[in-house]
Amino acid sequence: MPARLLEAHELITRCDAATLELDGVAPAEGAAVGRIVGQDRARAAVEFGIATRHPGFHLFVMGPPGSGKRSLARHVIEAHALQGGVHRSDWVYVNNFAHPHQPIALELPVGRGSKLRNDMRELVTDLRTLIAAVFESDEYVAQAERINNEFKERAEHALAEVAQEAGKRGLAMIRTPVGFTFAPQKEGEVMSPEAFQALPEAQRSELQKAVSDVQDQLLRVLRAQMRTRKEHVDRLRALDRSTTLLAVEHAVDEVKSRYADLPRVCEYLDAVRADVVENASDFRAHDDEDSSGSHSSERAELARYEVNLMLDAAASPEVPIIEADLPSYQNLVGRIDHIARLGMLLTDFRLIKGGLLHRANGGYLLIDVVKLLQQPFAWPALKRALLKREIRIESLAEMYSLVSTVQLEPEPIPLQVKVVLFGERWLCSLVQALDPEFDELFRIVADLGDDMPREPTTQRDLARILANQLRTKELLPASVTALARLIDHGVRLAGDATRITAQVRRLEDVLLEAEHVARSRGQVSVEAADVAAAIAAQRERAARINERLRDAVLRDILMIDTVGARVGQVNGLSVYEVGSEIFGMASRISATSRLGDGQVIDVQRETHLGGPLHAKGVLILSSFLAARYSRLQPHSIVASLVFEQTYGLVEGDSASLGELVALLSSIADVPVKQCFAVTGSVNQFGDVQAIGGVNEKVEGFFDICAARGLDGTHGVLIPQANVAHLMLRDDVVDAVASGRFAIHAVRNVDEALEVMTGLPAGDPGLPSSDTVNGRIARRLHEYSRIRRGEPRGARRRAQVLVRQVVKGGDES
Amino acid sequence: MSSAIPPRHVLALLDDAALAREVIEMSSILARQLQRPLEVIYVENAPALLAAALPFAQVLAHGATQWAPFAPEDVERGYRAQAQRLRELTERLLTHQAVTWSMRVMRGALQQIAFELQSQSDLVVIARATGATALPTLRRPQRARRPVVTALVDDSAAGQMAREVARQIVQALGGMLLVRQTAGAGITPALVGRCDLLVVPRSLVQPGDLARLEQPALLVG
Repeated sequence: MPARLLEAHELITRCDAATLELDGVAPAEGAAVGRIVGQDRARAAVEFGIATRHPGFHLFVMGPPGSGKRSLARHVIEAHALQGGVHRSDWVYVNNFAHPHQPIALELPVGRGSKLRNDMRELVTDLRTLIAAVFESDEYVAQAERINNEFKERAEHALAEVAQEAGKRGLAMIRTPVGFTFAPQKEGEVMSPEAFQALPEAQRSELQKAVSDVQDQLLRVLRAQMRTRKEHVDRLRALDRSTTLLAVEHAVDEVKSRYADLPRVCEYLDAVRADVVENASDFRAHDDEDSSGSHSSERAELARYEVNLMLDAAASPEVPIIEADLPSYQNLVGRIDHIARLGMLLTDFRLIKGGLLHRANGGYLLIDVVKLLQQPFAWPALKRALLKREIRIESLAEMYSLVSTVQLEPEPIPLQVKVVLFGERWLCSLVQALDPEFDELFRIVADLGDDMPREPTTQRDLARILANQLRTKELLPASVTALARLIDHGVRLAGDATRITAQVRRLEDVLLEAEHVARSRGQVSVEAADVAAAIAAQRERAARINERLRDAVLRDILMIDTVGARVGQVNGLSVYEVGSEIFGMASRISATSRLGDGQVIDVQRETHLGGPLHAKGVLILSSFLAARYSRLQPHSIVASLVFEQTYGLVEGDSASLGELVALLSSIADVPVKQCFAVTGSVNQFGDVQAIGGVNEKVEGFFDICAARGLDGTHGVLIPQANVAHLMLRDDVVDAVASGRFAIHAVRNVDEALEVMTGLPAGDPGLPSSDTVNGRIARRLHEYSRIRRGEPRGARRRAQVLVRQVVKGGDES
Repeated sequence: MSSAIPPRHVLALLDDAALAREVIEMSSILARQLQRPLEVIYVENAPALLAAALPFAQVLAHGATQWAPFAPEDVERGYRAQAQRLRELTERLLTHQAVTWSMRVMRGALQQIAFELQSQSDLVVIARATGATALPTLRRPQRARRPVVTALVDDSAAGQMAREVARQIVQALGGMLLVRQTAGAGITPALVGRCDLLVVPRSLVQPGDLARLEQPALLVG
């Protein structure tokens, strides 16, 4: 069967603008649809992942960039959230009076966290007034005075007894700036040393003994007074406690009554009451502080009664759907701030700050896995939180022993959140392979395809989404033809006329640029020409390397012939990928052959410039040659294949058809027409198989030919299987339609040989000079005979034998 | 020190009394009220020097639990330290008050000096060290009760002046005034009762009376 010359209508499958209208309503006027179309499998996975309540069923949504992973998840979550049923709470941190370094987390119904905070503020304000009032009351002052006077009188009485005893024994008890002393006295005056020395010895001794006795007595009295001092302090403290309790009890009980349904809050309030009673002085002004300093000092002391509202669910009543913009460790699990004061870093429960997990608790947390993995410690922290189902705020510095200061250990908060990670497939595979816990946590993996089936509904929905983008941004509307043109571009990006790319964002980018073009042209709507201009502009921006290569070809620096014919030389086609832009370019493939031991030398592989796929393709050629032409005789050629003027790695097997044609041309000594380029891979039977990037390859050769001048002889050979992928540029289609360029679809190597050599392929078993295969067979027989050293008389017999084997005949 | 003190000074006489703060505060209030300068006089207790000069003298220092040898040099050092403390205390208490003040040091017996200064001022606030106040004091109640000022008066001009001065002090302190008439039969604790300041005409006071008083006294006249 000869190669099929494709007609113009086969080269592009255009979107019919009329099909984009639903019931006569244009996409621009139609109701908005969900952001994602044609991803039914992924949508079902996401819907299940969001709906299931089992722990560990978190989601990983994977797919190519711009395919709407986030939008899909968000859309499903919002739809699910409308059904309600999500449990949310307020969370607060309060002081742990027994262990201040371990703040207590309290859960309260929605709206009551802020209420508790306000209640505590009011309570402290009230207590400051109440406690100050009771301690200034006449009753308290009188009782305190009574206790003080009692102990004062006891002390004075004891001292008076000592002074009296001293007086009886002729001594005076004197207070000096240094302390107490006793001295003999005479007539109420302290005796001078001279007068004392003048006394008789016996009297002096007696006075000295008296001094010694009263000194002992005074010591005993003072020691006894130190003991009574403890009793004094206890009496005053007990008075303070009972006085404080009087003021505190009622005020705290009143607050407690509002939280009677919350036992842990009541426990906390009991602890508050006990602490206030023990530290009542904090609520009272200190008379030894100046007025400017006392106020702030009191406020700092009373700060321990504050309530740190970590999560105020009432502030955003709907289900939280939190998107993590910067999922760092601290942003995820929260942090504990410090305040530098006098060279020290201080912290307390009020400086505990919530993270994304706190905000998302009871809802959903959406994280880009790339951003997550870029943040040190964030991935392990997220896993720990999800596995333990609690948020534990830990200082990294403490975990890694970077600081040795006392740190807080806040009580963990129970976590109920659904985490949705986004990323490309390779990232998902990477994490899956490297972290065994991944599968335990992210049990639902939603896989968005790179493209989607090109169906009328898909096209229509996509058109609406794109039109809606313009509408929401209040831009110029797009005409139906413009949208159809955009969908064609989406099909082209998919590389398959029956599918549309899932990277909707790339289409949106084109549309926005087209809108800019339309606006600059003063139009009222975006038209197909604007879209074409935007596509061309995008292509132009990325065309630097393409242009340089083409320029090199046109200047014969890169040697590509497009006229004439040459033995063993074929124009192959390669695809280059630069960023997001893909383009095709011709490459010369050359082959030489000679008598040898049946080896096909791939120069690219020998020089390590060929990839494994390319090597595989060449090995297949070798097998094909042997199987087709040398089944009953030694394969007696040595051939070599080269990709001329390539200086980098050649990979892929899409050139294997071209290589085979060059090789056969060399063996058969049949020239190949250089006005053709060829692409396709072949199997061991010579069948031509589909390749990738067919559109870019065809256009790459077309551009070179067009630059040199199309004369109607130029064309490209592509695999028949790739015809369905054709979405060629308009200028290529026009050239084909006008007969200036041709595209041939081939199924096997013989069809390619016929087109490219102009000779019939012929029977490979019949040596002949009229067909390509015949010439090959004849050449191989000659080589084989030469290798075996047979005389020329044996040639005929061998020919007969070969024919019998190839045809499967049984004649001898 | 100049001996020619204008008679319009308010004098605050202190020895080693723990009541120094109260006396200075009260004296300053009086000085401000009457727009007079204040002079704080620290009286170095002379008997202490005599006692320290005795061969077997020992002292029980504040807060100590053992008796230690005692010498006049210790007393002298103690005088200087106490004078310095009083100066600093006065400075701190009067920093923000519109009262002009000065300080001087005298040596002798407090009661005696109080009478010797009669010619120098008609208002002398006096406090002496008592045994009880030498003990460490405990925290006072947050708000003390209203201070009580007792005025002992007779029919003399000094008595009338004492009544007037007491009234002004009570007004400034927001306290309570008790006026007691006396016929000059001496001042006894029973007559004075419990009060925070005793205001009494100097003519009614004998040196021995001052030794028995437990509270600061303002000698008027």
